[in-house]
Amino acid sequence: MLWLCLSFPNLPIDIFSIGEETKEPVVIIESTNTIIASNNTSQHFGIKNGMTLSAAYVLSNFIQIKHRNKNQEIKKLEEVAISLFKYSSQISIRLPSSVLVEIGASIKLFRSTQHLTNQIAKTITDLGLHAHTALSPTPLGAIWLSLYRTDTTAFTINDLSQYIDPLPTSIIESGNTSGMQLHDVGIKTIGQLARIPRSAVTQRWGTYALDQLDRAFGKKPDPQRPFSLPEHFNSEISLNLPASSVEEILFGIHRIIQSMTAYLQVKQRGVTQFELSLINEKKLQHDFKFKLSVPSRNPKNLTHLVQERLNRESIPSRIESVHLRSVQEIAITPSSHSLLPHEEQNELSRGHLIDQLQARLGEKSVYGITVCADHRPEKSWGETIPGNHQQHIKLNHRPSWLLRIPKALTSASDIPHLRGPLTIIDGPERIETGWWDDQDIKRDYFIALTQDHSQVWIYKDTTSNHWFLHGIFA
Amino acid sequence: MESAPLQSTLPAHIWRGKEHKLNPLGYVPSGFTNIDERIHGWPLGTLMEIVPHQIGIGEFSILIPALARLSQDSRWILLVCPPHIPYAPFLSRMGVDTSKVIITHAQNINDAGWCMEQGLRSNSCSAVIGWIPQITEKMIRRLQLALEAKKVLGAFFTKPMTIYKNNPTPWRIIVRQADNETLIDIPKRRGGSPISGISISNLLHQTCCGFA
Repeated sequence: MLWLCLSFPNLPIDIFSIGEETKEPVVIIESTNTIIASNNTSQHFGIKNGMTLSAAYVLSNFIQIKHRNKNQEIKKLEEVAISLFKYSSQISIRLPSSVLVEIGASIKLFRSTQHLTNQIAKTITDLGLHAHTALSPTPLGAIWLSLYRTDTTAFTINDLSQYIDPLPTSIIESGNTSGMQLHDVGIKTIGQLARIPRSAVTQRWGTYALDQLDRAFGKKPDPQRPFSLPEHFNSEISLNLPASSVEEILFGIHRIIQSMTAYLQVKQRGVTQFELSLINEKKLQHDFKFKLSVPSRNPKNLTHLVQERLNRESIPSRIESVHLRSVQEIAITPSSHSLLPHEEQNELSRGHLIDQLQARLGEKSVYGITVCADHRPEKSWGETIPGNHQQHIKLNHRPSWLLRIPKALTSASDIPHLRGPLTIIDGPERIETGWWDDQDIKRDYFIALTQDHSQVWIYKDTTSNHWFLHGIFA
Repeated sequence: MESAPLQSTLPAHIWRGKEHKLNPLGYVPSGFTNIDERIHGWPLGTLMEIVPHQIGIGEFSILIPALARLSQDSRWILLVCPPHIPYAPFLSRMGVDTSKVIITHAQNINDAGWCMEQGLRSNSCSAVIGWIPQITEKMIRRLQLALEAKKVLGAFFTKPMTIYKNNPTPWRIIVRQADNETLIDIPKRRGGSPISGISISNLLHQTCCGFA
């Protein structure tokens, strides 16, 4: 076993600074008004973690204050875990800010430890996070080292003590409930603690300290609770600055879609329905529902869809966060290299085109057509979803264009006029009845020529004796 | 015959006057003998501007046999902003598989141009045909660029009056009517000389009885 621990000491602030680094000092506070994290600009002003807010105000007047959002921190860690599934199947989240990955089993696949850790580091950077990492044969060892001696690599248990021994005992004390602290009696490092007779330690401080020590050095089993994927993707990101235009939120949307596609990749699924919510300063939520005709997990296509849709619709001003939920997912079998590789690709891009057009023009403006079994001209065709299979019906001669609403024609002594009198060249074809749905018709259809040789499809309503233009032979 | 040795010594890229250069992406048979014999059919990967003298003289029908053939492919036939309902019973009767046909309506000319461009770029359409009366020169160039090197039939219909406007399309087709005959003029085509008066005289008759 070889555990890689990724710790995110700046997580409370990292979840807010999506996008470029702000010029203003930003601090994160907890309920007690103590600063627990701050950005580079604040550190430049001399603001440190653990300061009170009033102390920080002395250093700078323009501090931007944000409250810690623990829920979102957990979400972010889950996102990290999801994106790491491609490197290992054994991943666990250790609160408050660490993710453990067992990479021992994956080294051979990725050729070398160095290569594997580099790839993991790149994945993390792509998520917009900065991780402190360490490798150790025990999970607890990896966590400690990542927090206190980042970039340490210990391959065996024997290597471990040289790195862990100098660490301060305060690591253990965070979980200690008894009053007296190890540090207070002069036991300053882990090495010192390990050299004290075990019975003496348990007598004074209970079993907790030794238990931790044994786990860190691999003397005691330390099973980790594996992280398992949630049923649906559900994530939120906060924007750095309130945004009012599509361009401004696009960066955040792209990033959250990337997380969703990473999730879908692991689950080997594609999304067919998802919901995007834009939440503004006043916590008002605008929901956008998306439906796809083919399951997709291509971040580029999905971002494109969202972008087109948002460009078309009005979005609220001063958006603070973006929320994305997958509603329906369908399994996509990983593409196999078939003899005819274009077929599957084609099917995907066929569906994607429809989604793209519908996203921009609206669902109703993109449709397919079909022949319907009805003798009445306006009912013998219908709009369908694109790609719906047609029925086989015996058909009469019909024009290429049908007018949605028949155009009334003028007539003189029962000769219809359209840019002059029309010459009838074929007909009549009587089309009538429709009593079953109250759309009874009684018409005689003719094919006629205009003076300038256009061919049109006209009818005479035999009840009213009026002439109408219904089609054009274009 | 004496020119033969001279021709063979010339580099391949030198244009040889009358000699017609074939469209590298091929043609789709138009379904009309006159057209297929003289110009091989409708060119793929080349934008066509179709200018009817008036509406209702079979200007859309000249493409229908080609669309019927293309609809056998698994790809879409995209009709952008048709002026009326493309009548499914007609298309079906002409052998077009209507399940491949998609119709889109756009609110404005930019959206319509965008639609055509997406269709041409997507690799999932076998034909993209648009009715954009106010098409701009810039849009035409974009569409041609999107169509370049793709085995797609791309065409747009303009208003009858635009005959005198010189659009930068590689192919221009004029559809006119004379004495119960539908005639096609091709005043401009890439790699070939202008042709006029191709008669598809029995087009209307054929439409009446359906194609064999």
